[in-house]
Amino acid sequence: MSELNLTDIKGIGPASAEKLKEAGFATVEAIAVAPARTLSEVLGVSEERAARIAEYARKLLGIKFTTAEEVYEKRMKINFISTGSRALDDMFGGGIETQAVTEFVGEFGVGKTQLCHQLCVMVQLPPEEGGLSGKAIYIDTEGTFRPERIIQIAEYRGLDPREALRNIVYARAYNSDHQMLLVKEAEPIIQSENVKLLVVDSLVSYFRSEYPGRENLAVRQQKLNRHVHQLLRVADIYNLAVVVTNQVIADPSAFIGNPLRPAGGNIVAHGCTYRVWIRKGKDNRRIARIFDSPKHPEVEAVFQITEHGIVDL
Amino acid sequence: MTTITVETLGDLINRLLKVERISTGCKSLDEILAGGIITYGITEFVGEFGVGKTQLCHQLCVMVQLPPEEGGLSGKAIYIDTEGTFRPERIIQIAEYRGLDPREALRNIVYARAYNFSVQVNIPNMVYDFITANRDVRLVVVDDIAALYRLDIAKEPLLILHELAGFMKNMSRIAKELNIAVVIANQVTEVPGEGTKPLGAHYVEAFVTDRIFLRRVRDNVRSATLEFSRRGLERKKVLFEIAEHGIS
Repeated sequence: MSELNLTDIKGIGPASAEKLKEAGFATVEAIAVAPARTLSEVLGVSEERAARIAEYARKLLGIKFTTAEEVYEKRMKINFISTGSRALDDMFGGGIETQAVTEFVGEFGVGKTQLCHQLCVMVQLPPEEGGLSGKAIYIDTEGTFRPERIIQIAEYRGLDPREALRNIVYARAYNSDHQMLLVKEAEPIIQSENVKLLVVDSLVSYFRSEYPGRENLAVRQQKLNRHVHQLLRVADIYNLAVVVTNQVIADPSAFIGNPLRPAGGNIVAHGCTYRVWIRKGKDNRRIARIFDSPKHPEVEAVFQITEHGIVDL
Repeated sequence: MTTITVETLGDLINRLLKVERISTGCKSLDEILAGGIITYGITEFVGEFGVGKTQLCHQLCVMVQLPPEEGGLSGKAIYIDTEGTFRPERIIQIAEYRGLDPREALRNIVYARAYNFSVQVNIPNMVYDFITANRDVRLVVVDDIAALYRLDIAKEPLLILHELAGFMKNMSRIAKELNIAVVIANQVTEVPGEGTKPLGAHYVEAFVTDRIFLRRVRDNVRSATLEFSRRGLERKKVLFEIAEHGIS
């Protein structure tokens, strides 16, 4: 069921993969749970080596027993990136979290892209000013990245604008496959460059336009699921914050209540750790509501978008 | 796995006599469960989002560690997390309230995250092997069985449903062969004409010993109804409360 091939397992070449398939081990999952002795018989290798292969397959799938203490210690390493608005930070309980995927949903022109620009600057600030002294990667699917905005926000936050621009690694994605490839290619950069924020603006637009209609829904959602898990994994292993934006779509089956809902369905709903709905208020005011989170109550925060970026009222 | 074991009725009775209980830490819940959740069976908590299933799962992972005179089994727990909602901070709060060393309590919980349904389906085998090597484990929690299943169901409904049944069967095997308390959380779905039903229909139900329905009453107050019990307990409804230090 997974999209992994047997040859993705370290130590399995095409010939070994063929042997395994003949013996009925067609998937990485099957290898992960197969007894070492059986694997060693099929492959004609030592039992230790077979055990290492099974271990690697489990790693690929992400099944590993740890103690809750390790989970706790890892969670203690979670950092926060300030949004620049205290009200918004309070709603999040400190800011945008690392080791999580935060999704901003809203209609066109509501300020999702502005928030992404803002965070790319905020992450560069030192910890005492709400940042992580880190760099950002910006994956742009709609061509809406504006370096001029970065300059304005950086100046207001007291950063050297040129330096701020250099600390943002930018990539324009041209289709959904490219978008997924970019995340893969981002990994070595994340490791070597102290990247603390990965932005995908926007998450689902290519998937929606490339796979229209009900007949393509299953394929699209499967692929989107892979993408979301790719992002979750990166957030998890490199202790960085992933921020994605999402469009809203009108649900024709909703007769009562709000007919608008986030695109991407269940996949995005379950994949993103924190989901925030943004809507317009009076003047330049914006209202953010955290509507899905394992730890936050459903609360709202009001902020403003100005020339200087995201600020409190 | 395919061998048929033959045992005498005497052996069976002896085995059933070994069934033990873990207190839920909440008097009223223990009352409807005749002392707590049992080993040698599967206890299911069903309900909507935010109704306290995950909280109960956390609580039981602490309760199992208490000595028998305080309602536990002096044992360890395995926590299978499918939605990433396990919060060690909660364990610390609950453990402190129950008079356990919080760090020790965390060390006694073995954690695994399943990212997709095919991994979830394979987890019982790994858990089985793990417990045979670590016999101090007395509780296995799966929170929850439905989230990943829901993601995959659109693809091949029948196959996925059968895989879910296979998963339940293997969990039940862990409970019965190794005398382990298995706890599963399950979501609900709207069935036209029948109202809210637990997911997985009889594919899940067939393997459950005690099914408890949780509902929101107000703020922190929840109701628990013992929907059915294969050990002959009476159908009853009680109220309980979710507080910072756990469920009471």
